[in-house]
Amino acid sequence: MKRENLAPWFGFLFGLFLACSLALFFKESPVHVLKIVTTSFLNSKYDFGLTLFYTTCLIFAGLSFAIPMKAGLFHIGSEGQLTISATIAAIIGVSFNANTFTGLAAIFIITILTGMLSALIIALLKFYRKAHEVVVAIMLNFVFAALSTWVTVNHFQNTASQNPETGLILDAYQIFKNDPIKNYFEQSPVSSFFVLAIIFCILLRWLESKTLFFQVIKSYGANPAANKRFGFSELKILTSVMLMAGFFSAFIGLTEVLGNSFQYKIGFSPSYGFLGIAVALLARQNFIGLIGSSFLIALLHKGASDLDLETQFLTRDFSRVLQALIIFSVAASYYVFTYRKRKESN
Amino acid sequence: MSEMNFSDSIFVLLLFSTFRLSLPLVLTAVGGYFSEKSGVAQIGLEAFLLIGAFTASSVTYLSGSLFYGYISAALASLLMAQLFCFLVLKLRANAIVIGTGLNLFVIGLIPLIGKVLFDSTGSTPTIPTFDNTLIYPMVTLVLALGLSYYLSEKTIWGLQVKFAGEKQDALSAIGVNFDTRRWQAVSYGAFVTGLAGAILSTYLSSSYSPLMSAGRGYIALAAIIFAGWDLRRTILISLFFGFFEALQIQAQSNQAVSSLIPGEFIQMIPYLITLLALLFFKSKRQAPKELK
Amino acid sequence: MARNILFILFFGFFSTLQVSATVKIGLVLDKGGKDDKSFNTSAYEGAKKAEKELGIELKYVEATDSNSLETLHRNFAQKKYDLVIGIGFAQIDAVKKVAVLFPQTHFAIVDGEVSAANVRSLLFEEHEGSFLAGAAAAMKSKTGVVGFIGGMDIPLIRRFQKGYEAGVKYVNPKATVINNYVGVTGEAWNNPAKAKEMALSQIGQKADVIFHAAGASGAGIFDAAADKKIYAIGVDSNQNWIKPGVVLTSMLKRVDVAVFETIKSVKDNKFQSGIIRFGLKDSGVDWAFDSFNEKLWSAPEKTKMEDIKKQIISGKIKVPDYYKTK
Repeated sequence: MKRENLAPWFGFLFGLFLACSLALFFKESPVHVLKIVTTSFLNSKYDFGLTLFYTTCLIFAGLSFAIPMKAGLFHIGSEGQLTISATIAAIIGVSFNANTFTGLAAIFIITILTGMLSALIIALLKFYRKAHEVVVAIMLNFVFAALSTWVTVNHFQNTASQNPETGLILDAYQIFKNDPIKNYFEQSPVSSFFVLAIIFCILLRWLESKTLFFQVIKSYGANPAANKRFGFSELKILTSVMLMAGFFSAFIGLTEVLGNSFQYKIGFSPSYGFLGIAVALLARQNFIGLIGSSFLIALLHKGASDLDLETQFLTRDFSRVLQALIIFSVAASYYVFTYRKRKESN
Repeated sequence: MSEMNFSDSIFVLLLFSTFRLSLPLVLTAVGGYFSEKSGVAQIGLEAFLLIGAFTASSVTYLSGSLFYGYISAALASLLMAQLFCFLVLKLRANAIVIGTGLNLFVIGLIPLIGKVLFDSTGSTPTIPTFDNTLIYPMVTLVLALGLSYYLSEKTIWGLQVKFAGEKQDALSAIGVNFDTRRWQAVSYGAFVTGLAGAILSTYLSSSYSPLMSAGRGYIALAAIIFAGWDLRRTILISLFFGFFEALQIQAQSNQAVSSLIPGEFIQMIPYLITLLALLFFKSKRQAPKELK
Repeated sequence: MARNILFILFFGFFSTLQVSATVKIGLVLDKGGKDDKSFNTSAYEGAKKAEKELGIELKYVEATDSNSLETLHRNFAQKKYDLVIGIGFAQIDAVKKVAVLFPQTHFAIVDGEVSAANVRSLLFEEHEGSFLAGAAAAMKSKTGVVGFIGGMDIPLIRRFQKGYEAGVKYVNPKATVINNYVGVTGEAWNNPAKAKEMALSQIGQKADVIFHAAGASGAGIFDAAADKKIYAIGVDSNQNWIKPGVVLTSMLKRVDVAVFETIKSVKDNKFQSGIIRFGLKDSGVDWAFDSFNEKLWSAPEKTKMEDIKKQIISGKIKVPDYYKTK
């Protein structure tokens, strides 16, 4: 049992080792590459702050995948949900003129509702129409992306820029500019949303241990058919997990729009939705472990951007290779670690 | 310009456009079908498609031969599939996890190789125009579809692949290793998808550009699931998606239509229709029972 | 005495050699990459020329997503590069933000205006060159229908389009111009497959000359033009060589010259901030006529083009500028 939990970390290290060895093919010293990638986040306070920003978004993305996963649902719709959420947040921020408190409340509430409702579609189609959640999520991702783009470019385009983005939200809502965490980290993208993300993780962990809710979810995930006989409403389970997933996807939008750029930039997400899958899997859907795995993937993502300048052939694309090799190694590590167990039981 | 000529040419244009644009999608969906049918969830079609496209373009450029381009594309994809199968079938990792990882892997690897080969992470160099460019996709399509249909519906192997996806114990009972069938099915599927990638970068375009698959791998998967894991229906649904992609581009180019309906909405049509279809038709079709 | 002087000269010479370290230039290319054979290629070539002729140290990166732009500029500045050049309007924000934080570093931006003491903005009068492209298209079109395919529907590309249309109408007031834009996000600069489909669609609507302002996507337009045997007009770099006989001419945007000059100014310690505009007057924009397309042009046609060019420079022909008429 204990050995099994160590598995992902060994897998992580092995993947890291593998990726750096790959650097040899590109005439780079693996040690040099390892050093750049792993220490980049320490280069300055700004770099560390940027890493924490990535961590925040990844925690939310990880939660968005992990919770439905506990119910056996494969949720890859986070990308679409975070896109539409960020768009809505920016639109309200740009057009709704009110005092800071009312405005921010409106942004929070409406954005969160948007995220939750978008995710709810998946749950409803699954329950009432037996539609496969992967198909629905893929379709929604495309639909939301197109919708966001159309709305932004045609109705809320930033007149001061040629980039496809909305204008900046009203000054009254840009309070996170003076956010203490942001200031500490030299005005990097990070903000107090980071603390919020951690709090959510702790809260969820507590909920998991103290309430029946997650137990029910997990038992459904393990055996949906048996669950019906126990009398737990399948509809309630599906909708709750998806609503929670949408809730967290929306927070990625909020973190970006309220806590970072104060606008919606088309394409701002470096595939947080998909990276969230890796984050959740690395942590085996454990809410506290998510914090660690998010930070690790964030620091690798940050480190890869330095590779561009420090090496000749390795560009930030290397970060994807790195992430992939780590995913492979972690996923395979369970088998490798339980090999002896299986040998013994055979 | 009489109105008659205009609509005639639009219809013909649309037809050819549909054919062109559907090719990679149909073949990708067929490739994915084999994997899914055998019980291995396949979310890594993007990876196979991209590696095929990149390899085809690079090899054709470097060797001057489309033939080598197509073959190496299929082989590169096949190679990736071996990595996939090793992790999923031998080390028992979750197929969707590995599929996601494979997508990331290929998206990152291609620019790195491109940088070494051509000193650029962008597009590969343009391949020379060949006179017989249409022959290759046509022949590939006919051979791939024909072979796939034959293998899936007319051979014992195909039947066993289906059993691997529905009831693997039935295969064990007759002494056939179901994982072997799966490995073969996934590999064959990747081979075909690699060819789809070759068509993408050498026929629809004359070079590989970053992420040119544009999500086709996911759309193909959606097509397979939407078609209820049936080969013929999968091909039809892929054609349907291809048609809408063609319609979307034609509509955007046509002043009359684009002033009425924004391009983005036209782009949404295939996905909205799929959602609507899922809404109105309760999915009677079940996934292959062993599908993980 | 002579020996002392000699020694001083010798010593002085070597000490100055050691004091002037190599000038480090950072080049941040736009989406489409250095091999788009168009916009970025021009910038890259200018920098490469500087590397060869001026002996500077060049490091270039290709921006993969818009959010990494700021980080890339920052990295260059943090590593004490002497000059960081941003290619393309997408980098305006990044340059604006980073230039303020690193006042000791020189910055340059192409296709953008950033007012700061350490930033040089390099702008081009694309509409003038596009007018020539339009005139060329109308001259050579047999159907009276020509096409324009831009990357994104943004003010910069609209500037190309407006100038182009004006040029077309100048030569043939009854001509029709079909306009399309490849996409709405950065990937529009790198989607030849989609651009090819759009071009084919325009050709289906009887366009027989297509001018593109779509970066690396242009390759798709050339493909379509070669397929259907019509003319295409290239942009930014001289693209006549890509498909001889098909590429009628190219609308040159001498980004390479602008980049080279800026690097040189830094090396010579004569860096000047502010806005520099390149137009037909100083050959900052031009139409390309060389061995690859000379066979497509008759003598009177060429003369007419040169004549139009002169009239634009002298001010006789006023080319509409989208920036001014918005």
